[in-house]
Amino acid sequence: MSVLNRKLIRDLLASKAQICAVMSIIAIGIACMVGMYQTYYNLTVSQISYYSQCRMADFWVDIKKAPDNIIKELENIKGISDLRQRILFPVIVDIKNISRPISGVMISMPETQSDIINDIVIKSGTYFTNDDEDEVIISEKFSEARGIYPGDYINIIMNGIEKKLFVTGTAISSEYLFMTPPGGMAPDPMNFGVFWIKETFAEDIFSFHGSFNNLIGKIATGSGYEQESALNEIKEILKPYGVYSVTPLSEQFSNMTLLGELGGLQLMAVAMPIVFLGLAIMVLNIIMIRMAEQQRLTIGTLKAIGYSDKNILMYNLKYGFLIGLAGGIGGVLLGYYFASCMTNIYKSFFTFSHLDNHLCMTVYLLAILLSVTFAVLGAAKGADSMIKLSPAEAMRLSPPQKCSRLFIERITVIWSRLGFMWQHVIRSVFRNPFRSSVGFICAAIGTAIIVMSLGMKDALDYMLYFQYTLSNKADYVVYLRDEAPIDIINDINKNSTVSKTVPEFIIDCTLTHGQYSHKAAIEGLVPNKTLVAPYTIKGEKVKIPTEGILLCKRISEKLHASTGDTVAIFPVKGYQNPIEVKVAGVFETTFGLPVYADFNYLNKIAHQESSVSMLQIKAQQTEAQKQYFLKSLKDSPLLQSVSVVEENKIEMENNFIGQMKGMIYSLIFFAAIIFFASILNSALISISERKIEIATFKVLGYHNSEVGKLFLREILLINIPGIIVGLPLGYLFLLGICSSYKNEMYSIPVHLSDVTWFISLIIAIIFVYCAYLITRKAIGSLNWQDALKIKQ
Amino acid sequence: MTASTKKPLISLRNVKKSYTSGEVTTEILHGINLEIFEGEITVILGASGSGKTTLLNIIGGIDRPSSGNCLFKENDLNKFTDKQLTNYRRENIGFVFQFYNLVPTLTAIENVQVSTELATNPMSPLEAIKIVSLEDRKNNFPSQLSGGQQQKVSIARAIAKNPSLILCDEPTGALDLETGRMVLKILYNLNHEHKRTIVIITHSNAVACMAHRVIHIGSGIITKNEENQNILRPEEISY
Repeated sequence: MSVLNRKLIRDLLASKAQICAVMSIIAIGIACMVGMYQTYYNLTVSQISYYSQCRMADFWVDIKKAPDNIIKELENIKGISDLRQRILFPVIVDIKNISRPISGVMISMPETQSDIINDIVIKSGTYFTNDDEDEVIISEKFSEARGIYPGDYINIIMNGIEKKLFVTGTAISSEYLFMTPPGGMAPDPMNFGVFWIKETFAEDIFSFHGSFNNLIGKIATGSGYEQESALNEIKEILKPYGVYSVTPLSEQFSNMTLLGELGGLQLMAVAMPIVFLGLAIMVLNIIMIRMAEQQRLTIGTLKAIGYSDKNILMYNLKYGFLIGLAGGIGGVLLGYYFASCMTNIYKSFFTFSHLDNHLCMTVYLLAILLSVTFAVLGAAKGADSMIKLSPAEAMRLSPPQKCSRLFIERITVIWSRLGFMWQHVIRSVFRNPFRSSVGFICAAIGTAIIVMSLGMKDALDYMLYFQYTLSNKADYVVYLRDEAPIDIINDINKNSTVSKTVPEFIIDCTLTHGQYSHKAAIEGLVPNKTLVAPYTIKGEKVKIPTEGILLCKRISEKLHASTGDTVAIFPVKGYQNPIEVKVAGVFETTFGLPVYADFNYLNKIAHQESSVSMLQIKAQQTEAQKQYFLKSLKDSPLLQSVSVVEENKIEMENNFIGQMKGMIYSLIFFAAIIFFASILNSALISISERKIEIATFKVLGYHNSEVGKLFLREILLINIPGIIVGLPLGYLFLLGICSSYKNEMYSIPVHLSDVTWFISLIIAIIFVYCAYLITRKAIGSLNWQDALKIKQ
Repeated sequence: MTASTKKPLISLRNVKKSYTSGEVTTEILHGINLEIFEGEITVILGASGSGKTTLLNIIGGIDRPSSGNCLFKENDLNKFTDKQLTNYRRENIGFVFQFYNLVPTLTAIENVQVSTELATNPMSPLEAIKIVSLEDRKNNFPSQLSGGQQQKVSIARAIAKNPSLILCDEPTGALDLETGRMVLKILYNLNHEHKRTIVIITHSNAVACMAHRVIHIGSGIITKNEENQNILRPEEISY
């Protein structure tokens, strides 16, 4: 090894604290990049393989009831490569000793397994046998959650009839890779399952001989046909049979949820490394400039001996290269671990046939290349000042720093009152503008990351509050299989524990405005009585108009319709003639794509007499009363599903908030690294530069704590403004993150509580103070007697 | 051989130098003319601030004159590019500094290697270390060596690459009397036994006793340039 390389290694070891600081920042940036991208890659690879394994459909069509023989006509549509008709109905699962009705979806499958669209992957047991008609394959997560396995029996209420089915196997399917129960926002495998039964059995049970109510298909790639035109044609052909909805893959719920996550990961995989590597460049820059100053004489000597500028440049670049390489490798290892943790988290949300943590060699190489490039760029500045230094100049003392009076010094009224300590500190801060600016930026970004991470929890808390407390004051939301007369309320109210039952009427329809259309469900609410009331994103209650409909902003934008415009409603059930209604208002909300109207008004335009589709129920019950009430709901033939609001909320809290905690703690840890790395680096440089100054203070009789206070003031003067700027910056980061996870179904509200602002501030200040304590220790351990002997 | 018949290794013609330090410009050299001859020890004698280090830096190619010419074997250093000047130092010059200028993170022998790794025809670092009698401390870091030992390393570093010219800037300035004498002895032997051309700048009249030629400098001008007819060995010099 050449002697300069040996010097390089020893120089690195000599400044290990500072080097560790820079490497930590680099490593975190790279770890974020690798972790996020690898998770993205893991999910994408699994998605592609899973979709291919199950032959995932390109579109779904829900129909009231269509004959099987229409399929031939549909198959002739240009661009359609494959079709499969199914029978699909919501069902209720009746589990012994569990009083609450458990929701599920029943889907028909061929008697024998074949290559079909939306196939299932058997995870345990077998496909259907030839032995018995009453066989079922149940979704794997439901099986695990409820402890129902192949060989067991399960009672399912289908079409109002309870059947005891033999479980032949458990399975998963790509169309249900993200499953939520009705009214739920998070997966709840305990209370929602998918059940696959034989086609013939489904036909018998649902009286669907020779007919279907769900069509799935694939679009031929490269057919030149627009998917939209093919779907329009299908819609047109099936129109007489009552088309409820046509859903392309891009709008399919579980696919859309997954794509939303992938989009968020992609953004984070780019944004986080930029922030961290950018900071690393600046911190490394400061170290290198300081190194150039510290090694002025050595560089001069080396040049005097005959080392060329190129040798000096290479030496510095190698310095940056090694830091970048070490930080990059550390980051890749850490990133692999992050990816493994995140992939495991996603395993609990999404059901894939395989979701493994893959090695992404290209990404690792790219990450290390990026890390090395950024570090070398950071080191280049130091090299630049070393190269510019002529050997003779290097042999002389560096000229006194250029000084001029600061602006504040001219305001003598203020300046004279500051006292010596503050005057000294202010001069020191402003005479090292680059270093002070980097400290300021690091404090701002560190604080912003704290605000962002705590804000993410706030956003989810607010989502929960909004969904389960503010806009939903019901204890139960009961979905009915068919519209029922208003008298059903009386039946519910017979239970003495029920304090309030409010009806809701829903029209599934297509809304059109000019050339624009959107599939929607208009909810007819009873003003002033409704337990599920619409609220704006800001938490303001939305008044239900007596006439016309209220559109959420996302639909209003899609339809290009605003208040006062007339839109046409094409109901999917029964009354298929368009109904023209006025848009009475537009409001912005967090979840879903709601459209509201007055209960009576909606019934009137649908030519109904107080029909009810859903019931909002408020009750005051003991646990026993609750179980009894749920049991009575389960026994009702009118029931489609029931959502127990409190349980949904708890499930959501356990699922999302629990999983988020790890992420929040990690981000706060990252912020701590930035604070410590920045403050310690700056302080250590400052101490080494000002050894003589510190020694002189000590000779004069200053205690360590008093000298430390000088540094504390300097740290505060740089970091407190940084923290203050970091607070709103964190809000902007949060806005960015929330908008990256936004999709057509929901937007995450940016809602920071006062407590979060305060806690962020306190955490940032604690970090600053802890970093100061380490600085003070360094001051205490400084050999000031030696420092006094340093030759001038 | 007299000065007129000797071949000069270095010739300075009307060399001027000024520096800008911070916001102040100071003229250090006011038109220097001198010659350094091969195989000689030349002492440049002057008080502190007289411009001798600046003069040495110009001779050594680590600084350029503001005007005038500095010729090395009739090549004008002023016309050298930075790269040529680096090569000039690399091939021809060995420096010994008042404060040694050792790389603190390298051992004694590694500090010598710093120089040998550059040269085209160097001696082995160990050989250089032996010349200065520092074999037993060769693996020590500068902080583990005394001032004299550090200066020995500095000298070993200077001679190791077999340069045409060894330039010493107050080589005994930071040393006590005895250690200083030991360092001078090494330089004297280098000249007399190894035939090296040496330039020593110093403010000590005593050092001048061992030189072939003594050049007096004061306030940036040469005040006297004389041949020493009575060269003493270092051990004969009385301080």
